[in-house]
This record gives sequence, C-alpha cells and structure tokens, in this order.
Amino acid sequence: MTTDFQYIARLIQSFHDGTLSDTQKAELESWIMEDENRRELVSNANEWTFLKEELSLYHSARKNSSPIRTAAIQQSVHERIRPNDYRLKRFYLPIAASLVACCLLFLWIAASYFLQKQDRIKISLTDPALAFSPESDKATIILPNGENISLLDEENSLVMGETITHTDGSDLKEIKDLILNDNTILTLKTPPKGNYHVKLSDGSEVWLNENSILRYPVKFGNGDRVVELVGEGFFEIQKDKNAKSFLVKSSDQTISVLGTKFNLSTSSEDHLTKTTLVEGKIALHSELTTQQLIVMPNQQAIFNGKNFQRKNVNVEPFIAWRSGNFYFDGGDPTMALNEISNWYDIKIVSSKIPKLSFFGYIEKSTELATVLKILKDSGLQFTVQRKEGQLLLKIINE
Amino acid sequence: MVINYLDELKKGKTKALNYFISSYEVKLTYFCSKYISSAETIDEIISDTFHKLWLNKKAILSVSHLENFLFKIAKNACLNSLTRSKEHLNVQLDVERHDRTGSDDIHREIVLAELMEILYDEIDKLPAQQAAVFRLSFLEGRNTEEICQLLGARPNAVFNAKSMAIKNLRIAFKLKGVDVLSILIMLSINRLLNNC
Repeated sequence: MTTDFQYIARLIQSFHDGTLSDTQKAELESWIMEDENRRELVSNANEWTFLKEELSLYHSARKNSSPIRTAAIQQSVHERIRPNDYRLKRFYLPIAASLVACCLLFLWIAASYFLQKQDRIKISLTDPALAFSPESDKATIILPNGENISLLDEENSLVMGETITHTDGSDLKEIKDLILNDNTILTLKTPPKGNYHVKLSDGSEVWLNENSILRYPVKFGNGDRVVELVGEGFFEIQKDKNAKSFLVKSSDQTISVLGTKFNLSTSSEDHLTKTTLVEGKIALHSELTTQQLIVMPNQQAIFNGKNFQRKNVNVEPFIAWRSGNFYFDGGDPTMALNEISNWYDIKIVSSKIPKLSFFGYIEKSTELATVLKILKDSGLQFTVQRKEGQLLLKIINE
Repeated sequence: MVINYLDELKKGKTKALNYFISSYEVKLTYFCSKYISSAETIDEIISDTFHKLWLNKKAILSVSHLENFLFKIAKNACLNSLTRSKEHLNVQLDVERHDRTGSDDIHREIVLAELMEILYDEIDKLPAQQAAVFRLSFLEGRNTEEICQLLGARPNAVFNAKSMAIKNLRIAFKLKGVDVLSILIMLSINRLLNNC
C-alpha cells in the first residue's frame, strides 16, 4: 500500500510539473477513475493547499503553548509519578514550619522580656504620645548611573507612557527633563512606611509596598516582559497582544504570567517568598529546584529556597496593604500584632500571645491610640510603656 | 545532547522528563488536535502519555523509539477518548478510519510534526514583509484583500511577497533535504482512502 502512495504521489507531482509520459498519464487516469473524490485531490494537489490545513492546526497548537502550560503538564505528570513524596510535603512541611515558627516566637518573646525589663515608664492610652500615625518618607527612582531622584510629588503613582507622568496626566516634575532610552532600567524604591504605584509601558500595574524595590525598563522590548522585585508588590498584569510572557523575578524564584492579579512578598527576615494569587493563573519556577508550581486563584505558594509549597488562603489579609489598610480576618493574632508592631514601631512584649480574634479593616492612617483602643475592645489586656524612646506593648492576658 | 537526556531519563531523572515534555508538548498538541478539539482533553492525554513514558522509560531504545512511543500512545488515547465521548455514533466512523492507519502512518505524522516545527521557525527567518504576508495568509487564513488592508499594501506587493516567501521556504526545505510535496500528498491520499 505504502509504495503505491509514493508512486501515485510522484505521478501527481509529475502531472503538475508537466513531465508525465503517456503511459503514466493513463496510469494516473485509471487510479482517478476508481474514486470520484480523487479527481479533485489531484487537481488541487498543490503542496501549499495541504500545508495550509496542517499549518493552521500547528499554529493554534503553538499559539496555545506557553511556559505556563508546559509547567502545568510537567507538574501534573510529576504529581502522578511521585504521589507519596508530594503528600508527605503537603502534610508535614506546614506542621514542621509552624513548630519552628512557634519556637522562634517563644525565644523572641522571652528575649525581649528579659532584655527590656528595666527603666520602663508607663503611658496611658490618652497620652498625646500615642496620638500619632506614621508619616512616610519619599520614594526614590534610581537611574542606572546610580543617580538618586526623590519623588516629592504628593501623588504616590507614576505612569510609564511616552513620557513619565502621574495618573492624572500631569508631568512628574522631578524627572520631566531626563532623557531616557526605552531599554533603560529604572529602579523604584519605596521608603519604610510609604508605598507607590506604577503603571508600566504595557499597561500592567504594580503597587509597591514599603521598603521594596522594583526594577523595570522604561519600555518593554520585543522579548518577554521582565521585572525584578525585592520586598512586596501587588501585580495586575495585562495580557499582551502577542502573548508575550510577563516574568517577575525575585531573589530565588521566577513567576511567569500572561494576564493576572497577584501579590508577591519576599521577606529577608524569614527567607520565605510568598506568592498569593487573586485572579488568573501563574507558574513558578526556581533555579534552586526542578519543581515547578502552578498557582490558582485563592492559593498561596511559599518558596523556602529549596521547594515550593501551596495552600489555599483567604487573599484579603495579604493584599489589604495595597489600599492602605490592615485587614484582620480573625485568624492568627500573632500576624495581626506583628503588623501593628512594625507599622507603629511598638514592640510587643508577651510571654504568650492570647488566642484572640481580631476582625476587620483598620486604615493605616489611624492613630496608634485608636488602634490600641480597638485591640482593647477585642479583649486584649495590656499596658503601654516606654523604654529609652522605644514604645512597648506589654500583653498581660492570662 | 538529546542522547544524554535519554540516558538521564532512563536513570529516572525528572529533569530529563521535563526536557522531553517541553520538546514534544507542541508537536503532540498539534497531533492530538487532528482528532480532538477540547484543549482540556488534549492536556489530559498529553500528561497521560508522558506518565506512560515514565513507567516504560527503561524499555526506550532511542530517541526515534521514544518519538514513536509518544505518538502511538497519544493516538490510542485520542481514539479511546473519541469512543468514550458522548457523540458516540457520530465519531464511530472517525474511529474506524483512524484505526486502519498503520505504523507507517505514525511515522509520517512524526515527520509532519517535525516539518511544521521547521517551517514555523523558518517563517521567523523570512524578511519582515514576507513573514507577515505568509502568516496572515497561511496561519490566519486571510484573503489577499484583507491582507492588503491590514498591511496597507497593494495587491501586487502582497502577491509578490507571498510567492517570495514560498520560494524562500522551499529553498530552506531543499537545503534540509525535505521533500514536502510527497509527504503531504501521501498523507492526503491516505486520509482520502480511509475516508471512503
């Protein structure tokens, strides 16, 4: 059968080239007579008509392929190969991690208790010293040559268009006169207690939390869109017309996205990189592991420098900072107290964090005194003290 | 290089499996899309196929053996899925048609997938105007009038760019020693015969 096809194919080819002998012509004609459909095939037998059909199938296969899809397939195969391994990680790692976290917390509390026992001055909640909310410093832009430009404008946002402007279209005074190449990498740096918003040249938006750094080009080029983040940022990535991937690199992992909303937090304190997905789908990979991870909405991936872990979460507490709020979901009181402690520079002193639930949004512009009152109403018993200029919140719940 | 990956795979290295997944994912998707339209089903079939590859990795002798294995498993999975599908009666004919195709056919499908990959990459190497015209016409199925409007070019220019693109691609194939026409004709005749 096969040799027949090859022979017929050659006959058809010669037929189109006009090099068919009379005998061959008769052979081809008798082959056509066997089936009426063949006449059409022979007359249309131009390589490019066949090619068109095949190519358009291949084209759509190629178009739908992306690092995300590849990683998804790899992940699903890996999960089937090593189900036991994965189960082990999923169940025991979180337990181990929380045990370690408890020990560390206990040590920290014990240490701070013993170290700061002396020289304390009690402060009442109505004391004017507590009627403050932190004021932010200014964000800066760092040019490749190391030049620092302070962003003094009131508005905490910029838009990378043809020129660099504010969201309302007004020029950014400080960098108006700079001449920048499209591929210049800018470094946007937020101070403690200040955040900033930037709309990148492709329309994607990044909210940068305090003490964070975002590196990005003035304008994205033809290849993948790549930015780097240190600290914490919320990303809202726009789909690219040509389906170019958007890559967010942090110290030890890379996120690839097509269009999606997520929060990325890298912490130098606990060395955990947390990626929380709000919308869409992202793929995580790292040079430190062959494991690749797909994250779906309402999931959080945690990378500890060795492997990825994934869990379902309520995303609200992780993205509330973006709107300038604390968000307490009634979960871990330690997390809530740590956030307050960091924001207001008030140290928490406690032998044991009581099992209380804090609920609701608190604006970060709220004065400390008010926040403390809310804590008190939630059942937290404490005294406020000052030692060598440092505020202390001493928890006295039984 | 490829042989190294095969050895690594046989040793049970998952990195090598990842390598083969990323190298064959598009080709297998393309192949499966001839049978099945649901992208989700295709994803399942592909991850199934690689799972089977992993289970049988010790028995794989060469890269072409591996290719054969992947395409064969994928095809069987496609056929199974068609049989299982709800439109059982409608696809019955299709299944029978594909069932009659032998292992020669698998070989041609592999060659064709390879061919598509080469062709696709060659398009990128064409001069910009030719590549644009070729893509619009062959990949997106636009007619000359639409292409003229999209590119703001005259019909003559579009026609010339198209024939130049085809000529250049043909040269590229000849250099690689691929006889596109006979592969394609064989494949079409094969499908036609099986259709009757």
